[in-house]
Amino acid sequence: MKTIFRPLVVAYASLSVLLPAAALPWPVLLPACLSALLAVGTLWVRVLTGSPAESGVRPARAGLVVLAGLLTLPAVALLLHPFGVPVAPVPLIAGVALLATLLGVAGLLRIHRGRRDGWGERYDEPGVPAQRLAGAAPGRAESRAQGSVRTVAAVLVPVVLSLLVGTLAVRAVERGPHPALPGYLTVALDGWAAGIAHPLTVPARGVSVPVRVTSSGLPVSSQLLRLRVDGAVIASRRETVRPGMVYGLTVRVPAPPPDGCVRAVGVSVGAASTVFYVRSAARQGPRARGRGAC
Amino acid sequence: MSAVTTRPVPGFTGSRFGDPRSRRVEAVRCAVTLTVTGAAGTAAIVIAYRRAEWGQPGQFGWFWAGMLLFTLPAAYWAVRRHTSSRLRLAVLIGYGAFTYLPKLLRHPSGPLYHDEYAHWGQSHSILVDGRLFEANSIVRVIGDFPGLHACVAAMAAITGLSIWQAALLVLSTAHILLTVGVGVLAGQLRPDPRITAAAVILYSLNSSFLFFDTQLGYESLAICALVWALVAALGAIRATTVPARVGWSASTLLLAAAITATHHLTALWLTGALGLFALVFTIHSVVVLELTTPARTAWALTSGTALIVAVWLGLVAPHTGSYLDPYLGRALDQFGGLAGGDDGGRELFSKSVLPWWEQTSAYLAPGVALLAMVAATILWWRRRHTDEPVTHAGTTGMLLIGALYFPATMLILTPAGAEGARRSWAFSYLGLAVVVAPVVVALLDGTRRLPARPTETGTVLTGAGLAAACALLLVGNNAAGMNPSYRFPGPPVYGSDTRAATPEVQAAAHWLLKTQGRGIRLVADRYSGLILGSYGEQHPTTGSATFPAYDLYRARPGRPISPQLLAQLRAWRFEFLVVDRRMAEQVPDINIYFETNEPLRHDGVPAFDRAQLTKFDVMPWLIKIYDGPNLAIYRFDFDSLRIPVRPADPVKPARHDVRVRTR
Repeated sequence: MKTIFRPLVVAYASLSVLLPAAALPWPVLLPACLSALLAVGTLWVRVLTGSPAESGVRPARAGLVVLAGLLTLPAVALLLHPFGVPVAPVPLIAGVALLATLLGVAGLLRIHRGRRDGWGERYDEPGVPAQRLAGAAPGRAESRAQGSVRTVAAVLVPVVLSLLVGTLAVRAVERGPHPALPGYLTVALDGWAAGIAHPLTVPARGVSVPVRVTSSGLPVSSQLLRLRVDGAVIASRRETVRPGMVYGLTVRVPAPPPDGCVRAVGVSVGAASTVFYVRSAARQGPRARGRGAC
Repeated sequence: MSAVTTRPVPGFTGSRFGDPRSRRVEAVRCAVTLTVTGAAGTAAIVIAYRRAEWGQPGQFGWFWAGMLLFTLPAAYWAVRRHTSSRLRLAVLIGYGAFTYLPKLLRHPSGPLYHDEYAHWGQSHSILVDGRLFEANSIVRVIGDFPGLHACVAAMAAITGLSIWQAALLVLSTAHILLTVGVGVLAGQLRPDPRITAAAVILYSLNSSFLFFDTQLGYESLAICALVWALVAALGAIRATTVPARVGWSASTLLLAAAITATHHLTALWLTGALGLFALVFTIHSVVVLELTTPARTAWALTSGTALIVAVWLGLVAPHTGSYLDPYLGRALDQFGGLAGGDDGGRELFSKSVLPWWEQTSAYLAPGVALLAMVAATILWWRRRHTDEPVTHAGTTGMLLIGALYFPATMLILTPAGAEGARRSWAFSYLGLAVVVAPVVVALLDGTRRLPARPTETGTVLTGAGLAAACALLLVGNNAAGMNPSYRFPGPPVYGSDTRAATPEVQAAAHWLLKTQGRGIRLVADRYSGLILGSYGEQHPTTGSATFPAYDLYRARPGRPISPQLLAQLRAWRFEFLVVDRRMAEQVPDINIYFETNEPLRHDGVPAFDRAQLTKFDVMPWLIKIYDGPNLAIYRFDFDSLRIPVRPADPVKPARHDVRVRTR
């Protein structure tokens, strides 16, 4: 029974730590998550492959436990999907807890059936004959505990050493000098203008259009800001653009003639430019209204 | 009592030599040796990457020196006769962890490979929305296989890690599990600990082990589950009691379901492998009657797995067939054409930057593998009367799986089949590794009995020869299986999946996300689409034969754009067009602008001219909202499609201001 209850208790305890209400940091949540998944993985293996004698050697058992634990999360997410439950902490934790409970019940049933049919937990260890049921061999529990410790060490030592070496190497890669990447200077419609989706209707007083200019990785330069209407430059100004800066510009666009025609307005900074289209908000005269095309 | 306890337990069991004290000393020696060589090897890999990044020569030499510095001592400790079972397990776990480093160090901070962007974006989308089975715009079928994404997103949601950190945790665990799993699988057939270790080392020589099956991709998780599903299947086949058989069979089918929900090809490979086992056990059972139950078990597992895969592909992922078909179908057509004397083949290592010795190793590797398979077949035949029936039949199945490596190698000569051929090696090498491992151990043991020379010398010479062969396979397979731009960093290159993430594209993706929101449909080239579809959280399309979005770019200035295409774009609510003007200046590094079947010239000349890409500036139905040195973003305004372009007409200058504020 303890082979079922022990992982079940570990799973419940670890899952309770994971609840978002606790608002714990990841260094606490991660070990708790791994512990919960390992406990559920243990239950999976216990339920599916039965007693350790039937689940093969330690690496096979340990590997199956880790894999089952790892696959528990997507399995729960997929099982919750048909019920419209999203992939979120609380449903996942509840789902894993429910799954652990079901596995625990299934494990107990399996033990019960095994006892009824003459196989089961009595034969938990490989090679233990039935006639030893009256009492374990002296020193066996101790050697088993030592063996388990050594196996855990055989798994953890290379993992810890690899983590150590890997972490140092990652830091060396990330903190080492890297060649400079190509810089850029961009111009974009900003604020409400970033949402321009149709030709803009400009009132007689004109309209102020916000524009954003970003420079990164380039030397300080002097760039020409130009405002074009239908390709013709109607205003320009020289600006100093510094690297790592974002400039918010406001460009006043004059009202186009009230002829109903759509005109292209371009705002350029250096070689980069934005283009949008405007038409006059003023009432069109009879001549303009009568025109089929501009 | 379970029958499993009545036979030698498969796997990493080892004979116990020496007293506990000497075993501890041996363990400490091994730990110190492998830590020092591992650290030195890692340092050499870091140097290799740094040299590549700065454009200095020698990265290939440094890389392989670093790899061999650790792998050869690790192989020695793993295959050594006197290594204890736990020490062997520790060495193999360390080996799995070390072989994860080349990919990790390649780009530790985020996705880098083409598929990684898609899988990262898919996982991120699940974390944000909580919804599975959402369509992915970079790799269209991955939404139907959410196993990996659900795992990563759920891990991130529960622990508070980022998607990338959670992915690293899942993938490194899967990689170590894969490494150990190959050993356990080999141990299911031959419970000799040295054979299990040799199988692990041999499997790690395949071209996908270091870079492909360590990336954030669905195969990385699925192939690990496949190996363990085969372990469980062999457990079921071997079991002699009903409860054990039922338990192992249930494990196999649950793992098959997990694999099917994770990766289509791996699920198909698993079904095929189980079917092969069923066939082989059935044929053997004609002569050996005790194999009847194992054969029935194998058929039951094959049927169950096939049913799971068929139901998933039929109901959940019906588009998978049309996604996979062009790769295999066209490859076979092209291969048929080559056999008929057509001139449509690939020139291997054309314009490659690989050093001559890597290229030579790549050509020699299949030959060495063939020799090893011939030796394995001879050994299998010689042991046909002495091997236990299940072991003999299981080895036959593995031989057949391993033999698939060779026809797949021929497919690499075809443009369409090259990718599929490379991807198949991770599966066929499983069979190859399991059947060749006994040959390795037999060779090492055989030299001990040679009368002509001292025992130690013979063993050392054989060991050195085997190590050299392994090194050649490792170098050659990776050279053949992975593009140098995937293996090594370098300056940004236009048209390279791994070097497409320039600051400009990333800034554009960030700007679009910040100002326009997420989940927007847009038309883009392959490389901008990678960044916009992942970091940008948008839905880019690069076009296809039925939705030729690339015709927008192809249209000559002043010529009309297909009304059908415009209607499609409007009906499907596409909002933006992204134009990378480098398409008119450079040829992509991997010779693809949009997708593999694009109707564009690929003769070393840019497929577009500048006028084709700047014509959008004067189209009133396209509003240019963003522009940079290379990249421009336009908003579609389909309502303005009928507005004519007005010729330049000077407007009387009016009062206007340009106010500047700095953020």
